[in-house]
Amino acid sequence: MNILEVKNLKNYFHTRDGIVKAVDDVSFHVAKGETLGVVGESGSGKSVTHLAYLGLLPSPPSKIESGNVHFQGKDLLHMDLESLRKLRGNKISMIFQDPMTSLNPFLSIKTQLMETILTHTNISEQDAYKKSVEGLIQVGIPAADKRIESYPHELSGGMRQRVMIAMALLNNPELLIADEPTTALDVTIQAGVLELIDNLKKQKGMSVILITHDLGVVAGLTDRIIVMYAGQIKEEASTFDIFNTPKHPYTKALLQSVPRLDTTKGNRLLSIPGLPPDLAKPPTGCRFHPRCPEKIDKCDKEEPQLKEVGNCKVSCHLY
Amino acid sequence: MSSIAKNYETIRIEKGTSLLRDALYRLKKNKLALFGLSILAIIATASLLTPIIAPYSYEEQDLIYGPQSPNKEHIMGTDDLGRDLFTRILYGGRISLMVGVLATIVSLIIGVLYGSIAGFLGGRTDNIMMRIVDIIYSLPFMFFVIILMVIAGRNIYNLFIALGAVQWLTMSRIIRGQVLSLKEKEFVLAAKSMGVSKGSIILRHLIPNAMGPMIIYSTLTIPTVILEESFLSFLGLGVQPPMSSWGLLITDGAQVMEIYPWMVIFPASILALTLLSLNFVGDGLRDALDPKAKKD
Amino acid sequence: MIRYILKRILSTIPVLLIIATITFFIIRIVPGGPFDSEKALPPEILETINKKYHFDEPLYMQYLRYIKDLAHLDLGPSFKYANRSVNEIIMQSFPVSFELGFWALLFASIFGIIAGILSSLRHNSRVDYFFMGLATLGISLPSFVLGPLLVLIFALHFNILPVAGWSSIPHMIMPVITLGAMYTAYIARLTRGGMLEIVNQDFIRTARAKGLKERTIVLRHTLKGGLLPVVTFLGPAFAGIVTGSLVVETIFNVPGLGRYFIQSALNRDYTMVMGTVLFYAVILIFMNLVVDIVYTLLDPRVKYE
Repeated sequence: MNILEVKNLKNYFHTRDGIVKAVDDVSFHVAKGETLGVVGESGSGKSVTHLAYLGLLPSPPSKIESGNVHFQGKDLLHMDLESLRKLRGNKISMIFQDPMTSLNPFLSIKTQLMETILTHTNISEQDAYKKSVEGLIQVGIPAADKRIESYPHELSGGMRQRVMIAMALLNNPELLIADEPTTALDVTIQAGVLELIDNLKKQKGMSVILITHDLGVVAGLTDRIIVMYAGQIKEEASTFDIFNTPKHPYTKALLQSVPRLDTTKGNRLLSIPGLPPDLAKPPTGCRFHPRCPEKIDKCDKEEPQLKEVGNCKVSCHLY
Repeated sequence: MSSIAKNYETIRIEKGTSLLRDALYRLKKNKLALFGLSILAIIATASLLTPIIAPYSYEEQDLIYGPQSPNKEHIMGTDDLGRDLFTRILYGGRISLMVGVLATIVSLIIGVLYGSIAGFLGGRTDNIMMRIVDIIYSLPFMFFVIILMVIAGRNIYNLFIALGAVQWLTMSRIIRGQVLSLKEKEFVLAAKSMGVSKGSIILRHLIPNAMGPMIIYSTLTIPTVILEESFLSFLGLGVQPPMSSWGLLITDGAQVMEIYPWMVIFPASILALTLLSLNFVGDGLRDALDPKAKKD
Repeated sequence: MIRYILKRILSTIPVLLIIATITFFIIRIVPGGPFDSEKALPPEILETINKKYHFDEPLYMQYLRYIKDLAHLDLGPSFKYANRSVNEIIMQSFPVSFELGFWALLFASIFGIIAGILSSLRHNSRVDYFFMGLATLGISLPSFVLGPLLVLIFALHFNILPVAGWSSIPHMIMPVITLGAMYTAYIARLTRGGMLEIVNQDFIRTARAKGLKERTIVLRHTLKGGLLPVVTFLGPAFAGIVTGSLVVETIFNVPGLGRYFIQSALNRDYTMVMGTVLFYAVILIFMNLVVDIVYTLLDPRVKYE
């Protein structure tokens, strides 16, 4: 059973310089208990997609143009704002990239944790406080009953991200969306945070969407991966297939830019030449063609569609 | 995520235009700033050409009729001595604008000197000098202007020295910040290692680097000074008759406004319009030169 | 924190000493005094006066005497108001100025903050343009223009408010608005700017993602940070209110300390002028300390040692 179903979602930004097609016809689903990886460079629309259907983008300039998003059978795009608000932070939680700026510096950790519970459940303040402390213990914060009184700036980056995770899990969400949860952290503590998310996921049986620009991050954690480029899905496959038989040239390029321990000396780490396109004026045909090493004639003329190739879905004229 | 939309904008800006062209572009798009600029141009020209364009002489009285409401001969009416109000506003404007500009220059000189000395010497001296600025900031410095005016005599030169002498605080902070950041710049350190005096390097680079903030802050100081001059004139401590300024005209007008309301309405509107324009231009310049600065 | 406050309070003493010294010598260096009236006084009387006020002593003796009195919080006798001490005059007139300033600042804060919040919530809407237009006008409309304008409209034309005086609540309305208008405008602009700055922060998106009610987001998550610029501005605002009261008290004939100061400046009433300056310096330094403390309460990242 799919907990989240996104069909043909289009979300554009209406800026002074024209329409930026940040999310352009994106479809995917998340099964119950599954971890989905969403991979792409910055500006690929990998975060915006999720912010869009949760109503977290400022409008204007952002506008959902068309599409369908169902969460547990409920239509997110056509429900009233109040019902959507009641889902956020409750059934669907988010963790953001930078714990430095994502926690309110003016409020204590206690306030920020407790309000998350009190907004969605009708329990006493004491119970909310207890649950908050338990939440901190769960994510491995030592001396939780003391730390809960601190302000964000008094905690280290890793601690702050643990607080963010605790905050996201307070109401036992069905779906956790983790937007680059480790990018802003030191390499040494990245693994710990990822492991924590994975353990809690297994413990609570929730579904997770893990958004990252780094394929290396998702490798061990995800069941399935979608690769996004310039607001569109380029490839969708199981994690195993993505890593072993990548189809899309962009996926291959991404894989080559991941440092690997088994890389032999002569095998240089490759970076993808060029920059992601300007989404106000996307390239004609396949949006990846200006950077594509395997470009063929029709790439700049015809837009490829996402089609099934074996066990995968890929949007490329080569298949 | 609004930052995404913002990123697209910055990418576009960085693509073609240079910084200055970009600033000009932004200024041109700012209708309020352009409006302010045109009003200021008109007022400045009128003040410069006052002796030519004034319809009457400054002292000329129309005693037969006494104070007249606006009419064909006197478009803004006449004052209680039968003097043409439009002429008096033109002459008053010369004084008000002159005080504004000159006092701003005085404040600029003091601020630049003080700020660059503090920034250049650094360390303890800098600490003490800036602490002094902090303290003066919190004091009612108009009181000191009033004392200066009372003891040094109420003439116009003392006026703009006194006003300039209390307006330099912000300027000194700006300049100090610039000097401090310049001191850390690589080319300054490099020059030093090559035996060039640090001071001369900093001076050479200070002016071009600090130009933007200096211009912006000066445009915002002029209205403050004009306002303060009017304030002093209102209290009888500013410009003295027979000279006149907008503040003095407003004061005179306010005393008889029950009978001759135009005597306060015209000079007050002109003053408000000038201040409004200067504020528009100042804000516009700040937005144009420093788009990242907070809008308020 | 308490150590910090004590340190700040102690550090005002040298500041006040410097202010007292500078004002004392600026005033005394220039010839002319409170008793140079139009007609020359008989020499005997002048001598008595000089003796009474110690003008016959050398300047440094007078200075030391003044500082000694100051240490006992005695600002000396007024030169112009015979038989009244400066302390007495201040004690009598300051409450009026305080009342005026208090209401003006309260008026400015309440209306400024509300207008600023509304503008920021409806960013770039008609509401925003309306309030910000009004604010720009307010900043460009000095009190000595606004005051007479209000008198013209409400006292003389509509005849609903008294022209001047300070004896009842209706008397207070126009002076308070005249004094507060410019600060209302500044506070509105600062609130709007501060709120807009915060609204675009990541942690507001987090608050939305947590499903908080819009009201909680504005009142709890945005306002606290958004009002910081306003708090910073309050220091200069106190100074501005004090200065502004000079004009407003003159316009509306309010019997406050500001009017006394102007009178004594014009009369060269040395002790009164110095007393007022020192008194207001103390008040303002104290208010700035309060502002700094409030700032630490609002922003947990700022700590004073």
